[in-house]
Parts: sequence; structure tokens; C-alpha cells
Amino acid sequence: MGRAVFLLIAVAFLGAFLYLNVLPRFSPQPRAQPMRFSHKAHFEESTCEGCHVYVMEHGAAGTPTLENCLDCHDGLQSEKAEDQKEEEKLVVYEEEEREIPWAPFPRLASHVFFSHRRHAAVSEIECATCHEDIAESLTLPGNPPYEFTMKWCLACHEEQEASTDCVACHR
Amino acid sequence: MPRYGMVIDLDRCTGCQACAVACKVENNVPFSSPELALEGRTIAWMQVLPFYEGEFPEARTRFMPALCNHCEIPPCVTICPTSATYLSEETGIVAQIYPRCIGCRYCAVACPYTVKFFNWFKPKWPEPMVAGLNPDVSVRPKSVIEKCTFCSHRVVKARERADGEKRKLKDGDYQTACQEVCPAKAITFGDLDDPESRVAALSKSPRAFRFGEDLGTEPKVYYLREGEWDVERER
Repeated sequence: MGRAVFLLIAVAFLGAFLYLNVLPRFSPQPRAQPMRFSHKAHFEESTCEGCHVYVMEHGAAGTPTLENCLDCHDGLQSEKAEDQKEEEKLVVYEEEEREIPWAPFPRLASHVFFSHRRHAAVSEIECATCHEDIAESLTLPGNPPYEFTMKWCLACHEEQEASTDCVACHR
Repeated sequence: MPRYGMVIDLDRCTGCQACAVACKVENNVPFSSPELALEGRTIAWMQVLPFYEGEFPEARTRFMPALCNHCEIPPCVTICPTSATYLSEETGIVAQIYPRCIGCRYCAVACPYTVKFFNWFKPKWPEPMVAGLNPDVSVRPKSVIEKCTFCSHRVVKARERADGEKRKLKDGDYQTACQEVCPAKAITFGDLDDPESRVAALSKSPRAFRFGEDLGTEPKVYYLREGEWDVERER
């Protein structure tokens, strides 16, 4: 009897240890972004390709560099104090002569090849078709906001009669 | 749907190996060494095989560029247990999907042309060359089979370019790396089903033959033997 109780307690402890210490390591942790960036505010003033400058020309859309930001942000232009606080970070980066340390999301698997140019420029697909309501968001997501699965890609490819050949995306 | 194929003119081939080098660079194929070659561990999607004839002073060497024949009835596809290798309906290319490959090597045994290669090791390149790897082709991991893909990443690019210019893909838009570099223009590549294409015309030449034709694999790589040129068609 005493042994059974001991075993039960041991299993409970082990379970608690796994749940608290090991499991979280396998679940995605939110990534801290260097600043609160509002897609909504920027989308009202500019377009997607205004900041993601390579979206129409290359495979990767690109994240804005400090230079891209400074093209529009000349000193402090925000009206609200909380926005000015974020804008000040740009001034600091400029003074320190370093790039904005955006926390990138995990890239696609190395055997998956996706081209923004192919989809956005050649096939003229709206950004929102895949990126949903990102243009409405007020802060940067800490985790990848969408899960792009092959099934999801194929559903659209079949509907639009695009290539469903494996080598079109996997090489 | 196009059915891509290749014609290699053995009368034009000088055995310069430019195609073999271009293929390695284009497709991130790792280097080999004499030791590895002796063990049969070399990966070479395109290789120029020499055949020696006669004795000095009448000796001569014939060359035969050998690559995946992209068979219409591919034995490697029939035998693959995971469908990692398959015959594309859209292009007629026999492709290899690396993350699906379990490395059983059945296909390497089934291939009568011995053009499927196994990655025995994690590929390595000299440090300055790592930055020069082709970003359009993945670096294969250890324990998967790889093979010539007719530079299938280039058909994707060619289609993208043609769609961007709102036109159809035409003969010559899609070139393989080996064809592009061949200084003797021995390699012709294109759609075998397109009556306008040069490759279709050459494949019907009286000099044309296919490797191991009696095997019934219906290869899509044609060779032109030495002989009288049909000058009108082959210029």
C-alpha cells in the first residue's frame, strides 16, 4: 500500500515537472519585437510594398530597413505621446547607426520555395488573400499569425487551376 | 501539357565536361574525391562517359554525356514505396521530392541507367563557396536519393517570366544548365510534343537513338550518333 502511494506521488511529480518545464519548450514562445508597429496606421498612409519593398520583385517580401522608415519619418511626427515614444526609437537607432532588430518568424522549410513576386505581381493576388487582416492590426504579432499548410496552399491552387506539380514548390 | 526532353549530339560533343561542371554548380551537387569515387560514392547528375577505341596511333575516344533519361515508363517511379520520385504530368519530368524520400535506395537499384545517387554524407563545400550555392535549389540532407531534374526550378522561373509578360512559354525560354553552357551546342532541350521546337525535329533525325531502347522505358533523352548530318534541320 505504502509503495503504491509512493509510486503515485512520484508519477504526479514527474507529470508536473514535464508539464511545467519540458512542454513549454516545444510550444512556440512569443517573440519580442523592438517596437510596437501598427500595420493599420501605416496602411492608411502607404501601401504594403511601401515598406515590404521587395514584395513585387523577389521571392522574399523583406522587412523594412531603418532607411525605409526614415524616408517618411523625419523627426517626431506623431501626435500622441505614446506614438512619439515609439518613434523616438528610430532616432536612437539612427544615432547608434544600427538596423532595427526585427524578430523574424521561422522561415519556410528549406525544401519549400515560395515567391511573393509570382503571387503578388504576376498573378495579381491581393496581400489580404493570404495575410488576412494584418493591415488592421495595431501591434506586431509575437507569434506567426497564420499557419500556412500545404493543404491550404493546394486548395487555392486547385481552385485557381495553378500548378499542383510537386516540383512547383518543392525542390 | 509539354513533355520536356533532350537531344544530345554525340557528333558535336567534344568531351569538355562543361555540362558536368555547370550541373554541379546549378544544382548544389557536392564535390567528390578520388577516394569517394573508388567507393562509388560520387554524385554526378551529369557525367561525360569516355569510350576508348583502337590502339595508338589509331586510338580515339568517344564521349557520351549521361544523365537521367526521364523515362516515360520509369522503373524508379514504379518501385518507390513513398512516391518520393514521380513522373510529372505537367512537364514529363521524373522528379525527386527529397523530404518524402526515406533513403531505401530501391530506385537506385531499379534504374537501368544508374543515374540515381544516394547522399551517403552531409554535403560539404569549401567555406567561400557556401555563399554561392543556388538559392533556388535545396541542399539535400544525408540519406536521400537525388538525380537530374532537368533543372526543374528553371521551368518555374521561365513560367513566372512568361506569365509576367502575359505570353505563353516558347521554345528556348526554359533551358537547362548543361544546355546553356555547352560550347559545341551539342545539347538541345525543349518540348518534344511541340512540332515547332528544335528538340522535336532533332529527335526524329535518322541519327537519333535512345539509350537502352530495348528496355521499354521510353527515355526522353535522345542521342544523335555520328553520321551524315541533316543540315537543313540540324543547323
